[in-house]
Amino acid sequence: MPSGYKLTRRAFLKLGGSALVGTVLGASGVRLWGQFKQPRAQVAILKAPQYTMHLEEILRRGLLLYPGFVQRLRGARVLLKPNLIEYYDAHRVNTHPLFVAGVIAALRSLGAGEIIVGEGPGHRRDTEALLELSGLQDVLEQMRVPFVDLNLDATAPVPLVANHTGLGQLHLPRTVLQADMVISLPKLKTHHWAGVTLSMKNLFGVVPGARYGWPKNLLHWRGIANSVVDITLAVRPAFAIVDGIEGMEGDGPLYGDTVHAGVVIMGESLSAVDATATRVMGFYPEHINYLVMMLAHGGTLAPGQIQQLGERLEDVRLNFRVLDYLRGLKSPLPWINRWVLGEW
Amino acid sequence: MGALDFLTAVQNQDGGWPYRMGGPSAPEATCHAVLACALGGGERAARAGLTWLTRALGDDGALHLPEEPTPHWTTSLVLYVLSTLREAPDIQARVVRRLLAWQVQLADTDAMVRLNAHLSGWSWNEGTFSWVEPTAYALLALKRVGWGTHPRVLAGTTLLLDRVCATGGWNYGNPEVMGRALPAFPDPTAWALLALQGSFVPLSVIQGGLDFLAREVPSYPSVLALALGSLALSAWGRSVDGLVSALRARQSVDGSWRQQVAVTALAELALLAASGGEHAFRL
Repeated sequence: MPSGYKLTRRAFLKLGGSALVGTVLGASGVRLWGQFKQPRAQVAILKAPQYTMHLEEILRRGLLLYPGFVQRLRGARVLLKPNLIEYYDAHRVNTHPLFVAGVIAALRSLGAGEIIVGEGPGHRRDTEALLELSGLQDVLEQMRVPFVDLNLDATAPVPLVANHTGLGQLHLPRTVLQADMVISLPKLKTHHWAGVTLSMKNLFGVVPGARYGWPKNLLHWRGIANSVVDITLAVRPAFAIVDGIEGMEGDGPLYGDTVHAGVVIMGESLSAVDATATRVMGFYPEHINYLVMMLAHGGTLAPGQIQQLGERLEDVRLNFRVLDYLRGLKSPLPWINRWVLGEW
Repeated sequence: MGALDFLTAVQNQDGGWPYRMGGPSAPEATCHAVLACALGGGERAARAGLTWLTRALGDDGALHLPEEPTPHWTTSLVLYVLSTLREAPDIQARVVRRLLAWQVQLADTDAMVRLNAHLSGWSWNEGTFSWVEPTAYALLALKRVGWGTHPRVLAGTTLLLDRVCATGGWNYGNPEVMGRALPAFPDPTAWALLALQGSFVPLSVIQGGLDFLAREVPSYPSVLALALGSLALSAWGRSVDGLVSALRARQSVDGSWRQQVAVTALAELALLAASGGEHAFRL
């Protein structure tokens, strides 16, 4: 090789440095452009210290921040989808029954028509046991609200517009399809595979186990993120209200520890609600695959595109513990988490 | 009214049974209802149900749900029903071949879970991972037709042994995740114990599962747990007096348990077995 072309160590470092700076600038530009394209969304954060103290009124006040939604709510047949996955005495796994009761009371006070609570528990076939052990059965009986086991409901096929799972269509429960609006009521939790489980991941529970197995096994094999996005786009929930009064940190979604977060997070854009809830937990939503995937489907993640209603995010932000291999969730650099996970 | 009154009242025109009154016929509900009717004196209803089940089977011997190319986990239950009632031996042979060829996804060893991911059992949908309940259904069915020593059955038995919880009994999935022992649950434990009848397995595994059921089920707040717990305990010769009275106390005036077809059928089968009638799941 002619000596004129010899790459010195200094030149190599300069070249490498320039390439790195160029890549970072390019990636930042793409991100900024991506954020600019995201639709505007509103997310309300409300302080709610306990499950018993004025919860109905707090929820009602939050819902009234969305006048368009409240107008559509009047007379509507509403399906509430809480998170009821397993029951353990020692772990706050599920959306609290009193939270579900508060939502029902608030929706009724705003003129909702028929309200149904539906869930297809993801792991266990014994839904009756879960309802009884969790206390949800008592609440629903007291409030005269029917429960539908979505695992065993009659189904109808829904074409998958994005088809990330490659399934082409998804059979969904008729109770879901016949509702005027579906409202996701997740719990604020970490998730040992997905990072966080919030209003979108909660929708795994609408998939009928009788067809797709437990724990909705066919969909897990098609990828959790792919499935979450496909289900969200097929169900198109009208609203999400996150039970963040008690959240779960560490080894979620089943065996983590309780965090008294004292917040309720709600809104019409599920991706924006989940992004905000993720930030409340002290993580960066840009690390959550299914949230990033939603950007291609009209989702909103960027803080600049989310109008915060109610409390300021800074005032309620916490620092949820995560499992060691998910510590990248707390890094502002999106690729750090993938690097920690060994994907880069 | 009795359970058979309820079951015949909610049977669909096509001969199958729904999970709940008014719904479309579902293979699992139909399998349990056919057994309950056939063993409880409702032959005509059972016959119509059997016809629906055999029509639901594909030429390949697997049961496919409408618009679903993947064979469904209830294929095993259909074989169990046909074999128990000594029906359609030619169809049984086809289903046996299909079950023995059932493909499952094997996984790499995962540090998060304590299980041998190289073992082949049966999955909910063909081509996915093996789980306790579908494996138990397949073992029951294949043992019922006399294939209990087939290598695939032995592999499924090994899988169940691999998944035993530290407390005795079975979780629906793994016995341990990230160093944390997972709890056993009544329904997967009952199915696993029924499936292990006639297998050469350590007595401690069976005793552990039975002790778990005897300890947990009497106070467990579900009819499914009472019914399956009673069936498993009685199949292994344990007393179920307390469970029987709890079951009877929960029966509704329409003869059902919570108006759920599959649960009602299993509860009726449990009462039938406990009262000296034929035990639907004793091998």
